[in-house]
Amino acid sequence: MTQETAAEEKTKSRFGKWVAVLMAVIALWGGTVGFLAADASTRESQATRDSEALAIELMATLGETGARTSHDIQLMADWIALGQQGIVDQAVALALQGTACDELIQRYILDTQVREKQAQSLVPDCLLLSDPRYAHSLEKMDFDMLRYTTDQMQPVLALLERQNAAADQAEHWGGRSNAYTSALTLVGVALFFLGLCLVLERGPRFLFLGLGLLIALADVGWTLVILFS
Amino acid sequence: MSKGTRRFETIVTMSMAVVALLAALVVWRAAVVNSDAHTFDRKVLIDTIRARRAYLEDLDLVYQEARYAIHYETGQVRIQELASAASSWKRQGKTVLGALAETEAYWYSLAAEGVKAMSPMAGSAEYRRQDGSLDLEKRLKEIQAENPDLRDLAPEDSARNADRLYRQSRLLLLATIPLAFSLVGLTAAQVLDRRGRYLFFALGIAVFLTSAVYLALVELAGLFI
Repeated sequence: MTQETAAEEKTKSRFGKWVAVLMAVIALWGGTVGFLAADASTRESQATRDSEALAIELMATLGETGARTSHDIQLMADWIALGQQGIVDQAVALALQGTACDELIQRYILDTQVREKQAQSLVPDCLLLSDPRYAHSLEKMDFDMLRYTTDQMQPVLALLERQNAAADQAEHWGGRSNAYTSALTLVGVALFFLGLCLVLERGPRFLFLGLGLLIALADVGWTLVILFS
Repeated sequence: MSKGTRRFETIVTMSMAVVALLAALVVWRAAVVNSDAHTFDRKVLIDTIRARRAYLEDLDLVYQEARYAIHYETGQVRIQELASAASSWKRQGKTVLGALAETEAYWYSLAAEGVKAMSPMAGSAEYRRQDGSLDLEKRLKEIQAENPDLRDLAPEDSARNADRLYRQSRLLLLATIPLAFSLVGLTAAQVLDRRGRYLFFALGIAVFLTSAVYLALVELAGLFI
């Protein structure tokens, strides 16, 4: 009887020792999953920061583009207004031809010249009027507004693309981090079952050992799927 | 159990405690470094907002000044034309027309002085490029130089620091894997009965020492990089 008890105790002790080694191995796996989760979380933080900083840059670049285009369009409007006023002055001067209002005619002609020179003085400061890519002909008022708008929006669109990519990265790493955290929870459950099998009697202990191992194996599979997905 | 075995088990237990303690310290240190990285992340966002807001304010001011400078320029064109016509008309004996143009030029020149005061670029050849356009970049640099603190904000530096700290934190955390491996070796040394325990003990200690050297290198690199 004493010999049987001693043999059972020895078996139990050996079983306990191997379960302890198994638990240590699973804890090692847990450490690996924990590292992967922390790494994914860090990468999510970096991508989120980049995404937010780029969103701010994007808004500022929009503001900058708005200020520049508003300046150009305002100058173009002034240029058109001066041109129209010059035409009106010229028309009045022509209408007065043949009347006795010679001085008035000369005054209108002067105004026409003034407005023309004023309009010319605006050209160098306005990209829409001075750049041949956009101003095909000032006389015919042939402007490529679409190209101007597209070119001005180019930096904004480039930033938008970068911002979207950073936001996608943040979401990607966030998803991974959450998945690893769930995998880590499974490691905890597996360790709990293995711990239970150490304190239970012969029958159920193998059930919990099996469950613990099964969960640990499933966890390894799941983590590998996350890692290589 | 022999005295030698008991002593060995005590040494293994103590070693396991030391490894576990180092692992806890590594996790704590990684958390601290990670927190520092987050601080830099916040600085990146704050500095980006401040720098870009300041830049936009300065740019708005430059465009306002440009409007006044251009208004002044068109005014000068009018004044010159009126003055030139006035003298021409006076020479031709058209005194009334000449006097009217002269008076107009005079009052416009008074108004132009008021506009000139609104912008340093107005009437200044210093701000004119060769193609006759205003050198807005030059004026922008001058305005930015008035607030060097805002001009010199560099969110990129903070981002680089944050990335460096994240990297350090990641490298520190990486050491928890060999440390856990070392614990596995020491646990095996604790539970095994035969000679294999010495092999596992040696393996656990070797991995632990390698991890410790690795951690020291990561910390040193963090100090100097």
